Amino acid sequence: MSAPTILPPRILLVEDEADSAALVMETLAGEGWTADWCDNGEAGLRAAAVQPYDVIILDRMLPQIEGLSIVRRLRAAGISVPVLMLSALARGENRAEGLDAGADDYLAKPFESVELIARLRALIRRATNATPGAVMIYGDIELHVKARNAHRQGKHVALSPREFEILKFMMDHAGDIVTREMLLREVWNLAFDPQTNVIDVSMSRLRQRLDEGFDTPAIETVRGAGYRLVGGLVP
Amino acid sequence: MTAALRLRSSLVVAVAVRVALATAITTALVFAALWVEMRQASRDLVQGAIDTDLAGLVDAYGSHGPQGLADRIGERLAFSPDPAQGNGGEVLFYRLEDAGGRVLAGNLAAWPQARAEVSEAGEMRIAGGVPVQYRVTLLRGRMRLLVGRSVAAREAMLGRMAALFGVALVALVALAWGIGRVAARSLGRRIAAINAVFGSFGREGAGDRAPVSHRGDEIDALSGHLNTVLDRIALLLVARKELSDAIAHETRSPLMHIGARIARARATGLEAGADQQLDAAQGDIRNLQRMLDTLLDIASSEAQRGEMNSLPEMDLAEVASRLAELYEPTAEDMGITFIARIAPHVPMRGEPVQMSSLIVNLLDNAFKYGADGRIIRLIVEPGPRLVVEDEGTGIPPERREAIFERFTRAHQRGKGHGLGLALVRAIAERHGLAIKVESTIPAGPDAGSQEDHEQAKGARFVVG
Repeated sequence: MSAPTILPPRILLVEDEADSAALVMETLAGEGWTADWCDNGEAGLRAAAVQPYDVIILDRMLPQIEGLSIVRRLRAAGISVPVLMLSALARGENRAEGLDAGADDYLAKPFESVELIARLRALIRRATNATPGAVMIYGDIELHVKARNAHRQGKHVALSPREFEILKFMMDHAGDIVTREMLLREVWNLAFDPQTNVIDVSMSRLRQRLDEGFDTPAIETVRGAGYRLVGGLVP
Repeated sequence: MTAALRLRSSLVVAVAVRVALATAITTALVFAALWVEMRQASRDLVQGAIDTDLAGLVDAYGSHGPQGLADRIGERLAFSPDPAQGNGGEVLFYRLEDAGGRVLAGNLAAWPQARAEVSEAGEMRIAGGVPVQYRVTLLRGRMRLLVGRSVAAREAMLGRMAALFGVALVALVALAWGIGRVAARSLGRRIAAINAVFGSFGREGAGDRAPVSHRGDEIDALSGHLNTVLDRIALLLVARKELSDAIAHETRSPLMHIGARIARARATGLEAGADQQLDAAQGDIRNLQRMLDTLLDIASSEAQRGEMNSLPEMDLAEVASRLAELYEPTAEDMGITFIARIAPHVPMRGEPVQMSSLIVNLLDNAFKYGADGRIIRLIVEPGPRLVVEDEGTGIPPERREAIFERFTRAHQRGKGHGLGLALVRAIAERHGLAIKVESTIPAGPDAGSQEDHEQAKGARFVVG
């Protein structure tokens, strides 16, 4: 599950504003990644149609052909490369439009670097291992997907159905940060962040259950970003 | 709607029925007047001939006496067609009686109910139902004379005419009904086309406009006006969306660059004080973005108020259950009893993202400001009717309208922008729902004094 990506992913960035593009490139560089950059929709569409990319980062408001229409055309042409839409149009309504058009994920500008990387990793991972196995293992945690139960170091951990969903989502992204927004969207199907700390409370619940009787935490909080499975070693 | 009901309630069918009815009545009246007039004219004609004949016979009586008269009658009868042989022509009838009632001449079997003293004229039916028009008169020596003509042919003609009129009437009514139906159908089709355009406006991919024919009649004028208005609304909607998008884009991009610069500055390693300030600045940026998004969400919902065509079918119960689950751990942590009473299935036309936002804002509000009551309820019932209530301090009656306004905070200690409840109202109204707030535990019916009213507790938000 947690096999490191040996080759850097092939990324296409379609963004008309040089400043924003530079910011994205800078963020990617932090991971040792790079991207091909197109500064208009037409060039972006052409590149996406010809080159086999692992993921496309696509702005929405683009000259010539706008982002939504690029995704639609790609999908209509049977090209299923994962698309992360990156846009200043950040409201729930806008997200729904992006996802309806065929984008796999939608990230609002301004974005946190960790969030962009986490989402990109998630998309690449999803594209390569489409179906998780019946048993998911990361560090000392074992998840039986069909039986819907979890074990840590062989000890059964009692989880509510929703806690199981959270853990499963984190196992899907084992080793990577999952942000609050990703959790809200994937586990609760919510396109925005409530003002109260409901996610933190749910996460601390899950943590308590996983850590009961253990000295090392199973999940760590990454400040300002989200959560990550620690993946403690099996003793 | 069933076909029969549609037919009954349709304006155009009513028009067709009225046209047919008016045609029937007018035609029947005209035909009846014509028939009466013809009958009278024909009667007058026959009466004239009878009277001339009678005058001749009276003259003959004057100059030749009763026998002379009887002879004349005999002569005339010899020329008259024989009634037994059918309709060779109109048959003449005479009857001459003396003062004792004895028949002296003529072919009429019986005297009608008519008075000879006043030379009465009339009509009678003789054996075989043959109609006879006549006049009687009194002669000198109290003799009575009747002169008559059968009018069978005339009556038959009038009968045929009435029958013809009847057939013509039915044909005319049928024709009027048919023309009415055709006209009504065409009118109905055109009105239905206009209704369909109204009905589909706002639905995705429905850029339909009302058809305008080359005739240029009133309906075409109506369609033309409708199309102009729809074009204008569509244009305004696009303009509004473009403006919202532009505002979002033009403010978020610079904010992103400011944020990135702050992040770069912090990455270089700053002294604690400066780092803290920049951390706060990043928080401010996030708040600003959030406020902007909420304002745009409110504007978007307000622009689509009550416009239900574009909304998909959704289950509010499902959305509410998921959110209830999200808030349960928080409630437990805070030591609050959180009760979610959600009906199994609450269908409505709605935008799930927006309805989620509505519920989250109300729950956030209850958890932030109603927590001191230790109990929060979320109730979702078919209708849909959605209630979020707490038993906290509540909202004073005089503030219950104002809290739904933008930038108005329900509570002084609130830290938000005062947009949450404005968004809730905008979303409710966008879905054709009303929202109000009341006390969860009212002051009671006997409450009079100010102190009593202060007994009222909690805020209950009702959407439905």
